[in-house]
Amino acid sequence: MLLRSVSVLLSKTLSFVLALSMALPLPILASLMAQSQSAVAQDNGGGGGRGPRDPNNPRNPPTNPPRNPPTNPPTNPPTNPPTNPPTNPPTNPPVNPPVNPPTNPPVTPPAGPTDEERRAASDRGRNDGTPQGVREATDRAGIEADRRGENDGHANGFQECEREERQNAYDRGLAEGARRGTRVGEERGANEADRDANANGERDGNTQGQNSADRDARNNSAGPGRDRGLSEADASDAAARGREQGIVDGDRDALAEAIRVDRARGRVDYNTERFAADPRNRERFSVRQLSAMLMNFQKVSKDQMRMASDGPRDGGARGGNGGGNNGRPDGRPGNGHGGNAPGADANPDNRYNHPGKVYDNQELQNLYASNYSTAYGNAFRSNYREIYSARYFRAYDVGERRGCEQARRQDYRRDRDRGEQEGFDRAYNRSYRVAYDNLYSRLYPEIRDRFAQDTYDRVYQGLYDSYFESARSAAYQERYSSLYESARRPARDSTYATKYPVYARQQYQIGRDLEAAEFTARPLRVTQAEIIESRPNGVTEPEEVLRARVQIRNFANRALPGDQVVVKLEALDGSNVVITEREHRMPRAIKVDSLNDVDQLFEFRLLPRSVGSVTRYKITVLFEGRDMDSEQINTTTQYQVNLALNGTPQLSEGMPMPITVGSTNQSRVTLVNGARMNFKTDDSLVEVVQASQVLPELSAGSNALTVFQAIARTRDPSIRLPMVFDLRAGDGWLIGALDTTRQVPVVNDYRLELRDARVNQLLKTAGLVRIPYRLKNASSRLLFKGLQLKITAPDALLVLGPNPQYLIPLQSGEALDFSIPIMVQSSGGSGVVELSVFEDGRLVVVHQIQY
Amino acid sequence: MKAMKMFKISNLLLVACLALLSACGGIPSAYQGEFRDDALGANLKLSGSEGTFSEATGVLVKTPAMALAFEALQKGKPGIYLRKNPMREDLIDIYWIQPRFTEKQEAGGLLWYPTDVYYTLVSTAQEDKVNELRMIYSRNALVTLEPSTKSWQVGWAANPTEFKFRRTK
Repeated sequence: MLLRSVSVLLSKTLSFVLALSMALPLPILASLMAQSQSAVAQDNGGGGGRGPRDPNNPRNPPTNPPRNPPTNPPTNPPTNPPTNPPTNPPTNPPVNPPVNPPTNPPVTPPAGPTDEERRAASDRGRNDGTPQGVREATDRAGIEADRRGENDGHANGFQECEREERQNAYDRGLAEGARRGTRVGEERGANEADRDANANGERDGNTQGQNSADRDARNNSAGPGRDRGLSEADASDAAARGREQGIVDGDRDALAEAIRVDRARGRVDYNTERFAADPRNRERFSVRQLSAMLMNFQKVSKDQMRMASDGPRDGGARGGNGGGNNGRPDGRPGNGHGGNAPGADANPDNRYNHPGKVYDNQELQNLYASNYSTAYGNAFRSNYREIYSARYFRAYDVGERRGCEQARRQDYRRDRDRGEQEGFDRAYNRSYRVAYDNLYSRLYPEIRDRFAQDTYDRVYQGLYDSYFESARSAAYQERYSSLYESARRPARDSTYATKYPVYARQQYQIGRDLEAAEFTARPLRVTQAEIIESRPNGVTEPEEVLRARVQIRNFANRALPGDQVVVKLEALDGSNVVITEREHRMPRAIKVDSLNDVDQLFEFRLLPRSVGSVTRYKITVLFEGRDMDSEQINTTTQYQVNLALNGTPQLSEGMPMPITVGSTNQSRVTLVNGARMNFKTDDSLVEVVQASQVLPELSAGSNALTVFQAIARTRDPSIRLPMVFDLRAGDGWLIGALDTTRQVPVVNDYRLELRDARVNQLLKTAGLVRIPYRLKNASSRLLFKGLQLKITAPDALLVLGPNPQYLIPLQSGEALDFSIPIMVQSSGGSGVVELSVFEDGRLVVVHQIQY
Repeated sequence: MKAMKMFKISNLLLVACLALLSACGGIPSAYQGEFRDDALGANLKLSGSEGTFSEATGVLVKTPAMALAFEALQKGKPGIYLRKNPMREDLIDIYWIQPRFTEKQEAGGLLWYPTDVYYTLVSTAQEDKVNELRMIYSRNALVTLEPSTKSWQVGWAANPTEFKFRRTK
């Protein structure tokens, strides 16, 4: 029957589950099945005894809580919790059997302990536990209170008494120190005041006496000393000596003046006369034509010049304490404020916690054990606290006395010493200062004044004598000098006037003789020297071959052999000039009394780096290896034409923009038509449309502008651009140069951006290529301006779509994207695709793609 | 069913187009009215949704105004196309296009055809009626379309005719 009922129930349940499975999702179905199986298992649980209900199953809540729950949980809970009592055991059998009879037969629960039994077990536990707790408290409280109380009391007593003893020791020391300090301070103050007063008084007295004596001696001796000096001078031979010296001085001065003026005049006159005299012979010759030997030298020199010019020509400028207050006001622990002695709240160690009663029923056993433990603990704590507190304070007092006694037996000499030192110091300082000041103020003036008077008396006379002598001597010297000079001056002037004419004549002649001797010793003189340009235009240009013309006069009374006469060129600013011929010997004799114009001397050139600077040279004539005469000449290096940038260049990407150079003819000759200006720059940044341009004719001092069109090939807004301009005459001669580097802005109204970096590669491969561009109006403010786009490409590329393309007008700042389809007809080609954008016909930007 | 779907889509497109047009607001009222360029003998009449241009020679152009749409340009539909200027929201570019659509060409993914174009730029911030209106006209103009990206260009050759209209009504 039971089996049948179960099978019916199962079949119904399964049917229901199947029906549900048609409509419910699988997880919900699985959950429902699990619940169903759980319910069946529970209903069939009779065979297994009283199985525990699933407390998590809301369908099976415990209907009744366990009766008489323990008020205190057991200290050591039983390992097996009590099972739930059966729920509502049927008191009466059902009158009518249920339609669906219960699956479990009614089970009669075993009989549990009665309330009486439970109360008894509880009472027994309490009764057994209480005496054991009292026992542990009795065992421990006294011992522990004694130990703790004595320790605490000892510590506190020791601390208090120690502090008291230290203070007493310190006070005693302080008093003793004060007595000793006073005594010592007074003694020492007096001694030192005596010492200082004597030393200072002596020192200051001496100074004071010396100063007073000095002042008085000087004042008292000045008059008498001066009077003595004057009278002695008046009685001296000053006037006679002055006259004698005047005569000597006049003679000496006359001679010196004659030498300075008249001898020099004699030399100048002689020199002038010699130069003014017409030479008997006048020679003119060019070194170039005279010496075959020089030709070879010249050839070598030109080779050197060429080698030297290769470098610099293209260079140029690139160069709590907390703690509760549960204690007595004296800091000792209290015992009567509802509080306990420290440590009174101990916990039992359960040394006697051994419940002895054994019950058959587990519940009763648990009740007994629980009540036993609770009673044990309560009894322990209350008894322990009481016993402990009583014993603690007694032990505390004992310990406190012992601690204090121990403290009083300590050595407090250090505290006493500290007090004594402090007392000494204070008293010493005070008494020392009083004693010192009193005595010093009394002694010092006496001593000082005594020493001052002694010193005064001792030094006065010596000082007086000294000052007297000084005054006398000064007065004597003054009067003597006056008398002396009054006699010397007239005697000197008189003598000078008498002697000078004689000396003048003598010295003039001596001067002439000396100059004549100089002419004899240095008969060759440079009378003129100048630079000769190979390109005579009044400008000494860099690299221009320069020579010199020197005029040499022979004052000798004989002809001088030419091979002994050398003319030499020396550069005083050597880094600016290259000298290829620096010395010449005269190829023939220099005639007697002759003036010789020597032409085409030397060969040298100025380096480009000297442009704008002055170069100095020295030309020297030598005869028989001795310097005869020299002359310094200067040159300023300039190009014939000065070049300068006209304004600040501004470039545009893809569009020609002007770079203008101004040319000024600095020479005195006209620059004929045909000069050509060349412009070199960094061609990776800028393309120059016509890099070489012809200049018009330029008269002396006039200027012209040359305009180069340059196209920026960069998207950078500013570039650092090197620019080299050179200007060459029709014969190729460099007549102007400018080497400069400027920061140049690159400005476009419109900017083109290629949006695919691979395009130049794609254009090498046959097929359709779309070139994507972005065009941006960068700065054009014009409105209503249509844009036109023109593409030029090599024949191998076929531009598809309209060409030109027309684009919408763009506002300033606006950008648009567009693409240009190009058919590459064969692979491997190369060339340039150029995209030009016009704003209503005005070219505004050009972009090139090189592939 | 398919016809119904197409009908719904076309309605949606219509609403979208109308929304676009209203976004531009049609031809702003400050520019509506009648204008004349005495020098060139041209007359211009603008309403909110339509424009009429006539010359002494008898040329007469009358077209509706609409928001600029790629599809309309692709079909070569004449009209006054309005576009909000991307740089300034208060400006509207007006392209009045009279295509010569039969001359259209296609190559390299581009479609282009010649057109007459009138172009002007008007301000939606203008409240009072304008007395003068400047307009560019070019017969040598192109509409260039790139269907793959739906991008478009309307441009003209250099030196177009420039009308300087003065309001007459």
